[in-house]
Amino acid sequence: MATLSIENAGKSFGDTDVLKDISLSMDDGEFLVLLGASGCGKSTLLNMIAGLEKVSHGTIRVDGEVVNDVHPKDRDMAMVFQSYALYPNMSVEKNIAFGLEMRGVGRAERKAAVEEVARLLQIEHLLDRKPAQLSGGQRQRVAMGRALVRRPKIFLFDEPLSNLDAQLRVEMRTEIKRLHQTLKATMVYVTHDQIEAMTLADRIAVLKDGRIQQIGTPSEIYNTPANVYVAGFVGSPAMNFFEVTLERDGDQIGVMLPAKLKGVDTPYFLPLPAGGQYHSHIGQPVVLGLRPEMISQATTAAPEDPVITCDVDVVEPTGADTLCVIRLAGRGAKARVSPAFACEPGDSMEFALDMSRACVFDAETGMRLYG
Amino acid sequence: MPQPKGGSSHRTVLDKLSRFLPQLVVAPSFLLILFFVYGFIIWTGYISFTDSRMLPAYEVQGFRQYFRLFAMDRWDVAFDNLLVFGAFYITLSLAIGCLLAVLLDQRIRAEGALRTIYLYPMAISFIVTGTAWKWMLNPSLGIESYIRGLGWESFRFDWIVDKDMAIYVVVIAAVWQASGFVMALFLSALRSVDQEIVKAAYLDGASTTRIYLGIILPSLRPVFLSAFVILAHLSIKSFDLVVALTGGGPGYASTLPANFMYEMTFRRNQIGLGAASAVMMLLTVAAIMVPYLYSELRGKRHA
Ligand SMILES: Nc1ncnc2c1ncn2[C@@H]1O[C@H](COP(=O)(O)OP(=O)(O)OP(=O)(O)O)[C@@H](O)[C@H]1O
Ligand SMILES: [Mg+2]
Repeated sequence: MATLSIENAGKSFGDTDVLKDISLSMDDGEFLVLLGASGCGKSTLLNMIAGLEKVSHGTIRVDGEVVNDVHPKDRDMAMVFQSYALYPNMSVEKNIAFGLEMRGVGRAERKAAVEEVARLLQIEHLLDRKPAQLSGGQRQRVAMGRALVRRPKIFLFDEPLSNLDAQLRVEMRTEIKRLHQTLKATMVYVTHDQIEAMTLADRIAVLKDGRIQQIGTPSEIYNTPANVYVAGFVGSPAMNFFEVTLERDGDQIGVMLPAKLKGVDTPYFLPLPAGGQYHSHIGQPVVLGLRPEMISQATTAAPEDPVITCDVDVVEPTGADTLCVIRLAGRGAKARVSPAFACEPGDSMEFALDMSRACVFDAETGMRLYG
Repeated sequence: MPQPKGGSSHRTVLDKLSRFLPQLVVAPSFLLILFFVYGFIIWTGYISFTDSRMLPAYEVQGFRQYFRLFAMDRWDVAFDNLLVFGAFYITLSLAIGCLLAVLLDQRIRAEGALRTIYLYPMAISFIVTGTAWKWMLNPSLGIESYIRGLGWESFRFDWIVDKDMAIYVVVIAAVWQASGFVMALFLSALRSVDQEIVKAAYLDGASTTRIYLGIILPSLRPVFLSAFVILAHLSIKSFDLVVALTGGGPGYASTLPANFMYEMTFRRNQIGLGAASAVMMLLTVAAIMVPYLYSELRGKRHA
C-alpha cells in the first residue's frame, strides 16, 4: 500500500530527451494506466519508477520519500513484463519463489506463499513445469504470480497482455481488474490499447512524445479530452474532426458545417449550447470534434439537437451498431446508428448531432477551448 | 498428378534431373569423404593389427601393436599429457572465456576494440603462437632474463625446460589462443539473453553475481556444451603447438598422442604402432563426440 508521486521527472539518453517534465501523483490503491503510442516513453517511465533506469532530472517519491537513488530491490515494487521474463532454467515454483528466496524468506514460508498465489491464479498444477512447457496465457499467470507473491507496495505492469490472443486478453483483463479489487494495491499499468486503458483504469495518463497530454478518469479522458491528440487516440472508431469557423447567428454562437446531400454541399448552422463562452473566438478557425455516437439517427434523438440530411457513402455493420460513412465539411465522417434505422449506401438519411457533447479545439494549438 | 500429354517424355527427363540434382552435386564430395576419411580410418584400423614397419604390410598379427603401445613409457607420457593438457586447456579456456564475456557484457566503452583484441589469437596459426611463446618463455631470452635484468636475480621461470612443467607451458599458450574464441561464443549468447529477465531478477533482489550464476549462465548450457566439444577435439588433435613450442621436449616430456603418432609413423618406421596410437586417439574423440551427437539428435527429435 503506497502513494506514488513524480515531480518534473525527465529522462535523456545522450542528447535525446525521451521524457520531459513528467508530473503525476497517485493515491494509495489507485490503478493508473499510462497510455500512448509505441515509442512515446511508457516503458522508460515505468522503468524509472522501478529504478531500472536512472532519473535524469526531477524526483520520484514513494510514500513521500524520494527514491531516486534507492536500489530497485529496496523499492518494494514488483513488475510484470511484456515478454513475461520468466527464468528459463527454473521451475514455475522456483520462478515464483525466487524473489522471496532473495529476501531471505524461509523454505516453509516460501512454499506456503507460492501455494497461496498459485491457488489464486489457478496454476497449482503447473508448479513443477519449466517455462518452456507453458502456453502464453499460463506464462502470463506465472509472471503475475511472481509479482503477487511478494506483496509489494506498488505493482508495475508493462503491456502484460500484448502477447496474448484477443480472447485471452479480454479474460486476463477481467482477472487483473478483479485482482486489483481484491488486493487494493497501487498499480501502474502501461498499454497502447485504449480499450484496456478505459476498462482497467481509475485514472489514465495519456503520453505523447515523452510528455503527459492529460491525466484524468476514463470518462474525463473520453468526454473532455484536453487536446486533439487525446481526443483522436481514445475511442474507437476515432473521433471525427472538422475544420470550421466559429460564427454568430442571432444570439446563438455555433459553427457552419457543410453536409453533402445529393452530391452538393449544403451548409448547416450548428449552434453550440453554452456558446457564450466562445464569444471571443468568433470568426476564428477551430476544430470541431464529434464522436461517431454523437452523430446518430434523427428519429430517436433529443428534440433540441440540430438535424442534418446527407448522403450515406458506406455502411459498416458491427453487430450492435452500424457505422455510416457520410461526408461533412469535405471529409468522410463516421456516424453510429442503430441497425434498425440503417439505410442502404447511396441513400440519404437524417442525422441528429449531439452538440452538447461536441468538443471544440483551437485550430492552431490543438488545445480544447473551455468546457 | 495428371500430366498434360505431348512433350511429356521430355518433361519427365527434366523432372528426374531436377529431382536428382542435389544428390548429383553432393555425390563427388560425398564419395571423396567416404574414401579419404572413412576409407582411411578403416585402413588405419586394419594396419594397426599388422606388423607394418617402414611400409604397410597386410598380414594380420592380432593385438601385438597395442600391447607394444601400452608397454611404452613414451605412450604413457603422451597419454597422461593429453589428460593434463585436455583438462587444464578446456577448463581454463572455458573459465577465462566466460569471465571475459561477462565482463565485456557490462556495456563498457571500447568493447568492439577489446573484443577484436581477444579474438585475434584465434586467427594466428599454432606455429606462430608456439614460436612466440617459445621466445617469451625461453629462460635466457624471455621473461626470466627480462625480470633478472630488472634486478631480481633469483627470479626463475624455466617451465619450458623443466621435464615436469613443460606440458603446462603448452597449456598456457593454448589457453591464450582459445579463450578469446570462447569469449566470442559466450558474448554473442549473452547478448541474446532477454534483458527483461535481467531486470526482473534485479527487482527480485538478486545481485549481479547471482543473476549471472543463477539465471543467465545456466541458460547458456548449449553454448557450454558446444564450446566443450570444440575444445575437446582441438586438444586431442593438438600437434603443431607442441612442435613449435617445445618440440615435445625436454626429452619426450611434453609430447601429445598426435606427436607420438607422427614420430612413430613417419620418423621411426613403425607404421603399425603409429596406426595403433591413431586408433586410440580416434576412440578418445569418439568417447566425447558420440554422447554429444546422440544427445543433440535426440534433443532435435524431441523438440
Ligand atoms: N537505451 C536507450 N537508448 C536510447 N534511446 C532509447 C533507449 N531506450 C529507449 N529509447 C528511446 O526512448 C523512446 C521511448 O522508448 P520506450 O521503450 O519507453 O517506448 P514505449 O512507449 O514503451 O514503446 P512500446 O509501446 O513500443 O514499448 C524510444 O524512442 C526509444 O527509441
Ligand atoms: Mg514499451
